[in-house]
Amino acid sequence: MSFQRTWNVCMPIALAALAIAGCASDRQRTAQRPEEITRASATVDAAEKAGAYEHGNLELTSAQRKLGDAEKALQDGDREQAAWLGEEADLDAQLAMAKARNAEMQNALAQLNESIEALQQQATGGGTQAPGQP
Amino acid sequence: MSTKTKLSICAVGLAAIAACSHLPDKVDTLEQARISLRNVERDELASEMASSEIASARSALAEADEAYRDKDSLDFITHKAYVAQRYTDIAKERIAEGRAKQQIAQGESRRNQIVLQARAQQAESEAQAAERRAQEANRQVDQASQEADAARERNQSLEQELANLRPKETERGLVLTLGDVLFDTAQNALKPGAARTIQQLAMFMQDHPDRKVLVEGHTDARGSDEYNVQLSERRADSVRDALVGRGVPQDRIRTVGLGESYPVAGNDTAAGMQANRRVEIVISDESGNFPGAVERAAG
Repeated sequence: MSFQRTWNVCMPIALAALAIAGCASDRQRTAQRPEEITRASATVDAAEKAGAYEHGNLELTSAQRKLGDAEKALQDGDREQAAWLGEEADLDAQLAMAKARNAEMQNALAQLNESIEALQQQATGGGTQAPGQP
Repeated sequence: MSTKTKLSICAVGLAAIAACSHLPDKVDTLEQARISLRNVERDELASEMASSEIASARSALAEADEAYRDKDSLDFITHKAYVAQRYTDIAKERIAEGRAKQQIAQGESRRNQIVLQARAQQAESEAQAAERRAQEANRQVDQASQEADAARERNQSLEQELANLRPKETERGLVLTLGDVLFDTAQNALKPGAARTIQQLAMFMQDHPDRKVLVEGHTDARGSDEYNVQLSERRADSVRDALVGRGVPQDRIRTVGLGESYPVAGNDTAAGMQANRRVEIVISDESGNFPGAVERAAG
């Protein structure tokens, strides 16, 4: 009975101590941000500066939200979740930028095709052809 | 160990088993990512434009599959599927961008070709137009020189024909003077010797039907003015009649008697008076006008 009593008293204390130790080490690790979050933060910045709102708005918004969620998860001590969200935020922002760049290129292509069409019309219908000798 | 403890251990074990066996038959997002990646990999530009993204997608997909086999947490598998899907999406954008870039390069060279062609065509048509202009100019020069030749010929023949009549170029045009020798004193009838001169003049007028003549009679100062005007008129008329008699239409001949008003020499010597007794014939230009002709009248 005495051992049981001692066990009953000591066990929670030991667990609590373990928990505190765990928390302490968690807190210590919190001081270092996971590299996923740091990278995501930079990519989101870059996407915003690149004006990815127009063609990658959905992805950019998702990236911003996930970056916020990652910070929150980090504050809550869930480093794993924070790292995952950070990685996803980074990829969302990368996709937003890729979409914006692609859209820009498609736009340039459309303009070029338009100018080619205009030139062709000018060449065939614009009277640059020499009139036939009588 | 109390039954309570045993029970709680059992519960933890069951919970663990439950957690492990909780994975679904397939993770939809994972399968979706697999299909997307397969589609993108099939693109001919995939390896050229997005090799690193595709490699990342493949490795994320492999990690997800491995986690599924190891019965890892669904959250991790879903996360890896998301990563694979995102890399695939980025790869797709890169490929589309690269394809557009290639098309732009092709389009630019095509546009340059069109511009060059148009320029060449324009240059050619300009050259053709210049050649036509040059030909036209040459033609005009030829025509002008032909016309000049013809005019010179006409003038030469005119001068030749009239040479025998000894015409004088005056401010009134070409003027022939038929001297006193053609008429007897105070007579208006032409002497027979005048026939040759009249014949030459008539032939000249037949050769040049566009020309007209003005026949002016002049006298010396002897006799009254009135008499002299009448005499000069009669002499001019007789020259006209002689021309008409040789087939020159009358409407091409104008006559006027100017009496003694326009002497060409002094009337104080016999030679001067002889010079003043004369008929002058003024020849019109090709339009039948007397451009330099100051209208003369007896006064």
